[in-house]
Amino acid sequence: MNPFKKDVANAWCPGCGNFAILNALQAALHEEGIAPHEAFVMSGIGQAAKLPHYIRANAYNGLHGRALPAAMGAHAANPNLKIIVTSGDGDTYGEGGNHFLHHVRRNVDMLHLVHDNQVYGLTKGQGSPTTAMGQITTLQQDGMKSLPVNPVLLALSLGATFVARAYSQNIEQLKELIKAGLNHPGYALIDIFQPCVSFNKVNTYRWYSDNTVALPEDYDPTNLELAMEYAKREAPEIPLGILYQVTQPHFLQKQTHLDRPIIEYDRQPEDIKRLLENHR
Amino acid sequence: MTKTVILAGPAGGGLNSIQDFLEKAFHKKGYYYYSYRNYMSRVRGGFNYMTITLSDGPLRTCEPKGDFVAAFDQSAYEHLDEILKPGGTVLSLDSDRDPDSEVLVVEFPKAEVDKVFSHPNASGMVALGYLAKTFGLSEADVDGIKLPWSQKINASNLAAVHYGFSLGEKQFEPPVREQSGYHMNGNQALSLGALAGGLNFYSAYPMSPATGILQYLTNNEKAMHIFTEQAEDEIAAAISITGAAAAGAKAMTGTSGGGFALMTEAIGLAAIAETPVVIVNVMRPGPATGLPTRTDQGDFYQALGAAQGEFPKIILAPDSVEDCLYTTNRAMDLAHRFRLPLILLSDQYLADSKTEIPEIDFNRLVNNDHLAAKGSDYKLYDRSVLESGAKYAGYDESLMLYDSHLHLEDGLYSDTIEVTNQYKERVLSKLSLIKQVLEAPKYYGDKQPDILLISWGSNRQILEEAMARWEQSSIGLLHFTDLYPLDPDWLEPYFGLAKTVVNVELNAFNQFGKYLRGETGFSYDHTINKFDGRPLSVDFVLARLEEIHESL
Ligand SMILES: Cc1ncc(C[n+]2csc(CCOP(=O)(O)OP(=O)(O)O)c2C)c(N)n1
Repeated sequence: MNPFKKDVANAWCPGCGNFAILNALQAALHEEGIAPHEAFVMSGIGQAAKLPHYIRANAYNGLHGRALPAAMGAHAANPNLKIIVTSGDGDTYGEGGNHFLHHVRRNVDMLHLVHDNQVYGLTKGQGSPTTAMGQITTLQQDGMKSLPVNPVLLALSLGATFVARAYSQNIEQLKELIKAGLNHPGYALIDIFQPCVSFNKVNTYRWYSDNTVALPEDYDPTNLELAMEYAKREAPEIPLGILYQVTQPHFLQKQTHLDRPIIEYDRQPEDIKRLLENHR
Repeated sequence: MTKTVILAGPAGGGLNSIQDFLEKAFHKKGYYYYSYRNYMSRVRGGFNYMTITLSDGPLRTCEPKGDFVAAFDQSAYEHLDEILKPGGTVLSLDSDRDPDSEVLVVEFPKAEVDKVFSHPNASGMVALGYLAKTFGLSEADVDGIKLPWSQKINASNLAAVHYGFSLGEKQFEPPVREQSGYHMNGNQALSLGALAGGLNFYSAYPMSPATGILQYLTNNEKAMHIFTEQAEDEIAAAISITGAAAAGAKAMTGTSGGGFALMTEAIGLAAIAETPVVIVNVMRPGPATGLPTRTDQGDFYQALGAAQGEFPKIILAPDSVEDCLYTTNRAMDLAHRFRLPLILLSDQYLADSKTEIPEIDFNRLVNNDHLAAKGSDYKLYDRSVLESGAKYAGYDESLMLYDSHLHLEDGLYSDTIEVTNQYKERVLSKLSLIKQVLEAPKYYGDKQPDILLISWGSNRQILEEAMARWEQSSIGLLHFTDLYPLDPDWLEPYFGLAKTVVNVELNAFNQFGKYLRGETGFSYDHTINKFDGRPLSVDFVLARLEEIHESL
């Protein structure tokens, strides 16, 4: 029995791609030997961001767009917790766009799963930052008038150390990517195509199956230029897999004055005497 | 004896270093001091001045004008009526001074001075030497000043100090007393209070006049083993402390009004998710960018109304540099005891006031965990637990589900009527419990006052000083550091006590006075409002009191 399974009512639409992501995450965590109290699953707000309610682990369902700063805080407080951020494309690249940019720069050691359904689900179908130009939505009846963000290319350009793309229905690959992300020391982004059966009439299950391909067997994920080239590829040849992975010192490793989690230092009011001498 | 020295000139002209040397050397010699920085929002130039009031007894504030004004450049002359007392002396460090000036001027002949020092900002060192002699310091005291630069520059500067010393004449006898206490400004005292309370996580975005907190904590992160971060914006700063608290940190952020506006969503989040955090607003005048380097008390309404919905929170406002330490320490404790957002309202006056504070009373400082026993049964939002007894993610094997929605006791979202009502009950019960542990307003002054002043935050010592000089009638002050929630019982003894009640605030709306009246029925007849971006001053208060007194 997988200890991350939770018997709880679920508010996702029947047939939603989120179910497969939840299952893959639960399986990957368990197979990696992580216990529920060692994991901290954190989100913003949206359909995807409801996931922390549906997993038996430490969880945090915060505010729209704000999962990453909260996750940075939790990680800095106690890096012994495995941090998994799980949120929508609107949540991550729209409301939380600025945080996304800076968390890539920081290279905080956490796994970030973006449920990229290319539409705003919870608020009923408006365009998201990843909706294609010209695509008609419940709000944009004449089609989207802005260019979409390419999240993986953006992450690469910012210096991300782990960038992957997945599709929720390639369950086995998704699980393996999640495991790789969990084991990556630093910020690991997996942008997961996730069909929204209620509101995205273009990017359907069928569409994703027809328009995604595996990376070549001899693909070198440490080659940034190659990664950028592949990241740019569009339908019908959107590549799935680890586009790029390198190891660099992560955020907390650069806090060289800390040899343990900050919450583990014994602290007394008298400690300020260390500083008071500078005020004589 | 109380005398004031003002160092006036351009930003970047070395004023800060001279201020620092002067305070330390004069304090070492026995003087008490209280200094305040009056500066513009710019990196170079402009008109800036540092006020250092020196005395043989403890000081509550500084004087607005100087007995000595060290004019580092021409700009000082243009402002002499603002900063020089009648009969005061100008120390002219700039050869281009106004030849028609009728004030008493001591000139340091540039040709002579140039022989002694070899780099531009050393003219201040000459003034320092001159003042040292004037205030009765010895050559040995001057030699004891620790200069922070290279050996060569230090030597040249010290020569400049001695040169200034040789030009001066002793006018004042330094007080003889035991040395004790510490030099610090309000932002530093606030940081120390938080650190004493176990602060280990501080994330903030630079904004005057709160930047000093970030600077101080980051400078000391190694000594204290804490984590500090310059966030990408105030939203991230405020959200990150809720995440840190959810994983067991003692977390705080700090900003000024504009940044605080961005933090408000996190305040509501901290309340509903019950993650203990302290949010500091070092107030400056708004709206919008307002006056970046000035002071006021215009953000009480903002603190009171921050974030949507009704939730438990606490608002405190320290009343002096020293109290920044104790009240912030208490803030850390209260936030963790009741698991809520605590808003601390400081201001630029406190942030940039530097003075001697007495030895720290460690009996007044706490670092309590307010945690549950490890391994115990636990529900994050247990309705029967209103204070203490918390766990956090990773504390033991209990699982937390922090949630920003209304939720059940285990954190799962629920929108039933029952749960909605239960949350309101929780809010109200927490607030009534908090009222019992907050500090009632403190009373200062005559037992049966004709005039009763009401005030809050940083005005306290200035009002005490004004009261000490007020002779026309009896007078008292009821002063608040704990602003929200208010317990109406606190006001019981003061109804009908005075002939007239005067509300004093550094804003135009009487924000706190109106709220006090609304919550407790305790009202005021007159007001003293100052909103020119500068601190309350004793003279201003006395002049307004005179008008009020005449109208009685
Ligand atoms: C500050 C704020 N603005 C707007 C909303 C409303 N809102 C909730 S979810 C959402 C977007 C959902 O889209 P996405 O993040 O892509 O997630 P999905 O529901 O598709 O999984 C919006 C706009 C909110 N909750 N908070």
